[in-house]
Amino acid sequence: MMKSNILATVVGKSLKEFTRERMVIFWTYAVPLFFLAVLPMMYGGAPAGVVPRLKGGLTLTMVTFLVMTAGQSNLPGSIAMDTERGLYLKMASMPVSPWKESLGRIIATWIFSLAGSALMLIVGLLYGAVFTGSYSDILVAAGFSFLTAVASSGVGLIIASLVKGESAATHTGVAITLITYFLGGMALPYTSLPEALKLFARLHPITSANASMVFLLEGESYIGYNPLVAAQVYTTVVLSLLVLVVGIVLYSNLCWRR
Amino acid sequence: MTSAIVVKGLFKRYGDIDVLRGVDLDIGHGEFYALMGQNGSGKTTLISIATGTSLPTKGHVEIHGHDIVDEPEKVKRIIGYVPQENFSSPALTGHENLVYFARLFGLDNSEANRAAEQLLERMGLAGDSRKRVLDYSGGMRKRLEVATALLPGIEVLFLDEPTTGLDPSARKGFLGTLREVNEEEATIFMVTHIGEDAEVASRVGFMDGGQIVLEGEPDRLKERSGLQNVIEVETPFKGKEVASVIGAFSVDGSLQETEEGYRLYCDEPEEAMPRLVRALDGVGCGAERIETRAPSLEDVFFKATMKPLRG
Repeated sequence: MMKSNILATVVGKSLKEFTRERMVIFWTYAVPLFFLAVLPMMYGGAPAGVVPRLKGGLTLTMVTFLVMTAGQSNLPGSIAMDTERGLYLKMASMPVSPWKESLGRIIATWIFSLAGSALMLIVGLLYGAVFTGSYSDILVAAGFSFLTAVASSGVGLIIASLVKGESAATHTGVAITLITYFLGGMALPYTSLPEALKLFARLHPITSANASMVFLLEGESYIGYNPLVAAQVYTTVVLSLLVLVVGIVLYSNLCWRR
Repeated sequence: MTSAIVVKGLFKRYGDIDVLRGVDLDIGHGEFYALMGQNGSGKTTLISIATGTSLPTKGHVEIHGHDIVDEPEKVKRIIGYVPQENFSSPALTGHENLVYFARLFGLDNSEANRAAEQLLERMGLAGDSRKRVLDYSGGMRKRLEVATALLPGIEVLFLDEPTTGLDPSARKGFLGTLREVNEEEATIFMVTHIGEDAEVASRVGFMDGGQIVLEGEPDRLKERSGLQNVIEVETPFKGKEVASVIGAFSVDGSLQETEEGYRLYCDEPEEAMPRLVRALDGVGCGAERIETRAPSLEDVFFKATMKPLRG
């Protein structure tokens, strides 16, 4: 008997489940695409030269919105569904490591997010979005985007561990995504936020990473502040990883009944 | 016969409630053991400890000589567990589901595919292997899930209420499949609250209040119970007076209330039934249906515990 690759097995299964479920595709891919198509219609008063970069900033924000939806809503929804149908009882009776299984689910969510992000960027570019950063800026921005995926998966695992039921877990994820989007300086300009929400936007690893991406590829005027100061970058990296670790620990202990 | 499953002094406490109160069991290689009990009697707790999905408060479970707490990896390589819930993924095909569980179990890709094809054939699902489980009937889905517990290397099967949700015809076919699996040397441990399901087992145990209160071969249990015949009476209404009239005909004074009326045990039903009909007429509660039958395991369970199995 050869050793099988549990990671690859779980990744494959999770990806099939995500891509075969129409509602998952709709809520994860179609909603941000819809926002990307509709929101630029409000740029009527903006100077023509600015609109492509506004579209660029919006495209990046919609990438983050998509990544958040996948990690914070799809991931806990699928875990809660598997809990409801007794899959964890079955798996706990098999020689399967909860850590490896959770990693498989996380990687599948990242791949699903990556595919959606690529689609979002292509549509954004076709729609006239312009990005201005250098190659190194693009690489660093990709790193920040990865941090949004890391933190989103962590939040998703925490939701899955604490909220029972597929519908409740999915909706909790959607609510957290919308709250983060509207209150964290992604939907409204950072400069228009009250001080408390400005602090929230800087501390929250996802909104901070999103701001860093937009800052790198569109400039400070499109985000309202400079998020690339050492303390904030450090906080973003540490909090993203911390949320993921907490999520994995909670998931391994609470979803895998013992 | 050497032991496949040994349970010694098993206790499980949740908060202030003792769910298992000193369970001892010894199940031999190749046995088909059915554990019967009411909902909440501790059956599922016992199976969850035996499969390593829950920890005991006290006591031991050994599978093929390996302690489930001390050597979980060894045990998990030889057991197959089918929980009560439908755990297969509806978004995947039957084949994909089996390959998924085979790979989790440790088979490589080609072994997993080969095992999946063989098991689908054996379970009569080969023709539907490329259909999504979403389109399977309840019986097909249950057979697929049992197949996940028959992967190469698995020697002991644990089934928790496997016929729940199946129609009578699917149930019959499914139990026949279990018999075939058992005849091929696999040890089966099944918990159920349906007496007819337990009839297929080679040995049956009754669980009540977290303990095994009686066990034996199904026919021997019926013989030893001393029950001769069962009378089922369907009445237009129920009440103390009606129960008292019917209870007077019971050989041991016990009377079981059923959905439609009452059930009682009687040595000479042919002689008792006309008198029972007249007695019911006398209290204005004419029997709508009255019939006699041989005692089942559910009747033996009631006799042993004074509790209806499906209460």
